[in-house]
Amino acid sequence: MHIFTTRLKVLLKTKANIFWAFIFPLLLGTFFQISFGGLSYDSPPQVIDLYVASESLDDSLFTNEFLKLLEEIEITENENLFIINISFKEDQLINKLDDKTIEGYILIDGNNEKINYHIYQNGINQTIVKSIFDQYLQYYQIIKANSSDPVKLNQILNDLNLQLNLIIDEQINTYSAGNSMVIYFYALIAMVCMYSALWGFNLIKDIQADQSDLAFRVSVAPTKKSKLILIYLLAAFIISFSGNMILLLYLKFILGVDLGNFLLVILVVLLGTIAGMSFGGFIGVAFKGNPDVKEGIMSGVILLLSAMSGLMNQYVKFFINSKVPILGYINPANLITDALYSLYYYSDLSKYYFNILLLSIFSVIMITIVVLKVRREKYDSI
Amino acid sequence: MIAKLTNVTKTYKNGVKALNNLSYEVRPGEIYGLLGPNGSGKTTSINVLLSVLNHDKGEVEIFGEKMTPNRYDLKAQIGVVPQNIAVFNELTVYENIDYFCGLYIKDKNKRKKLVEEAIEFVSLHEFRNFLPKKLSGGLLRRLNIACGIAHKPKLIILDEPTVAVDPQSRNKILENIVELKENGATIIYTSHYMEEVEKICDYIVIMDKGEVIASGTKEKLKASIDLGEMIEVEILELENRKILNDIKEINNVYDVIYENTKLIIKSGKGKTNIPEVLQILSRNDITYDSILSTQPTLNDVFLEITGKQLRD
Repeated sequence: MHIFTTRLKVLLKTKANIFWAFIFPLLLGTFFQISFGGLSYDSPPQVIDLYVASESLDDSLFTNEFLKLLEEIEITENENLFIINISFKEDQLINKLDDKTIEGYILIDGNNEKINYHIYQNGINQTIVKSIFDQYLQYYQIIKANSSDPVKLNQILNDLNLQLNLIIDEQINTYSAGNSMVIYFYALIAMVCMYSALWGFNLIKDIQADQSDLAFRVSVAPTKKSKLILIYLLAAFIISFSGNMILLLYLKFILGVDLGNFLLVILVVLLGTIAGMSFGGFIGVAFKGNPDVKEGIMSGVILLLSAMSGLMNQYVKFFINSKVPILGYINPANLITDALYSLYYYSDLSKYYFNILLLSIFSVIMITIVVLKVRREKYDSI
Repeated sequence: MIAKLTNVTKTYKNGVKALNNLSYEVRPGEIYGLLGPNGSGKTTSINVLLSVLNHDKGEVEIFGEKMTPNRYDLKAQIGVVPQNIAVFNELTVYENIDYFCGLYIKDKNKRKKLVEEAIEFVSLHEFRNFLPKKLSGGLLRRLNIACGIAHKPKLIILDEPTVAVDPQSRNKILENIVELKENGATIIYTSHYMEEVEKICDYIVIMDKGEVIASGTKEKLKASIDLGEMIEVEILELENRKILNDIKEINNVYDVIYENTKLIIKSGKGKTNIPEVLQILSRNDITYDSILSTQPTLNDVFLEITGKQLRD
């Protein structure tokens, strides 16, 4: 316990460690948010359940044309945007709204040519619905004026439909822009996980007698090396994972970045932290030379891996994934980004688990090499 | 026997033979000095002794038992003060000593007492809450020592503990080392400062190129060489070089040189030759600023055996 608490103290008092592990990621995340702040990270538009209070239905032109129009709007080819439900009365819908089992309902006032829309929260679906209603209200007077001329009426309705499709496309495009920006945040999470390598690297530096004076001093003490490694590892992991989790919480709850299933995101960060630390350990044991130089090279490599996973330009990631996919599969930063992205974008988790599997394999290989190297207690040179 | 190396050879991958059939034996209660220039194999032999460095052949024993990396029972009785400062910059003086002592002593109360004693021993009580970066070079060296000896080991290995230290701190460190010996510890002390080794060591091994070139007490080592007395005369300008031959005629004198305003006369063992030298100078009307007679040093021993200065 004494060794563990002192180790924690040493790690937490190392200012550079704290800056890179805790502060820098938050600054970068904030910078990204400022840069892409106007964009939405909401979920993509989906089929919308539209509840219409049954008592508000009548035979008026306003109501009939409105319902007809809603039934014809498509989100994709052969897929209607709205599933219209008219089987509940307003008081029932109010209860459902209070229970949050529905997102909203409408009351159509055919006599006064008004649409009342009741919702409990704003989102992309509500924005689309409101845009459609506004557009209809604007067009209705023209519809009414030409209601006796079926040809003209049809032309007007087609025109309105076109306008509405444009509105929906615009909303989708806005969503897509936000959607692609999310990759930068994923790449940031991946980078932070990979920079856990510093902790793994420092662990090796402080344990292997041929790496530092401190490690030499520890090596001549009567404490088992395996015990010391476990203690150092635990201390480093706790701090590193905490730093990564703080970033995650900051992104989700302060910056409002949509990360998808949060438990599965935490799993990615957990495995990403292990992958990063094992990578740092690997660099520590695999190469000889000045530790400062090695650390510099390692930082450069991590930055490159992060760039390849979309940190600086998302098209780099797309290019590598499409042209040289093998590079994507062996790049742990890319695996982290892909796992997060698949969580966000696909309802099927197979792609997520595939990335998680590859990330785990990467860590196992790195850890195996590290264990084989650190097992020895005597060195060829010090 | 406390520590013993027998016919140890170590060759690095680059082909450098760091230890060549090296043998030495440290007896209980002595300060055992390993003296030699940089690269002579002192630290390498210590690393082999501690079983952190592979060696090609030879035997290593500590407390009469074979030393291996897993002999934690033996390691627990050894204190090591490495050549370079090896402390955590993030921990205070107290925390550093406490941490390293904690690798040897699990009992918290016992450790606390030992840490306090170590702080007192190296006179760092005023600096107990200081971070290492706030300490001077001398104080840092003392901290380095405290971290290695706080657990009161039977065998203490100090590898060049006074490098880059001011004279005051150096004296303090040397006093501490003698005190450790008086308290019952056996000490292996490596240095390339012959004055230090001469001052505190009971037994001295002079090393060069991974080999023991001479060993014994300082008296025995000095007695083993031809030099008995060296006379240095400061003469600003010596025009009459004939006197060099006159001096050489003095009984026992075997070498006379004049360079850089210094006349250096080396003679073998026996009575001092100062009166004869003064007579010759007076007879030839040569004025001098100072005259000094010195006894042989370990550097002279090293010089006579290897033909080079210890600090070359």
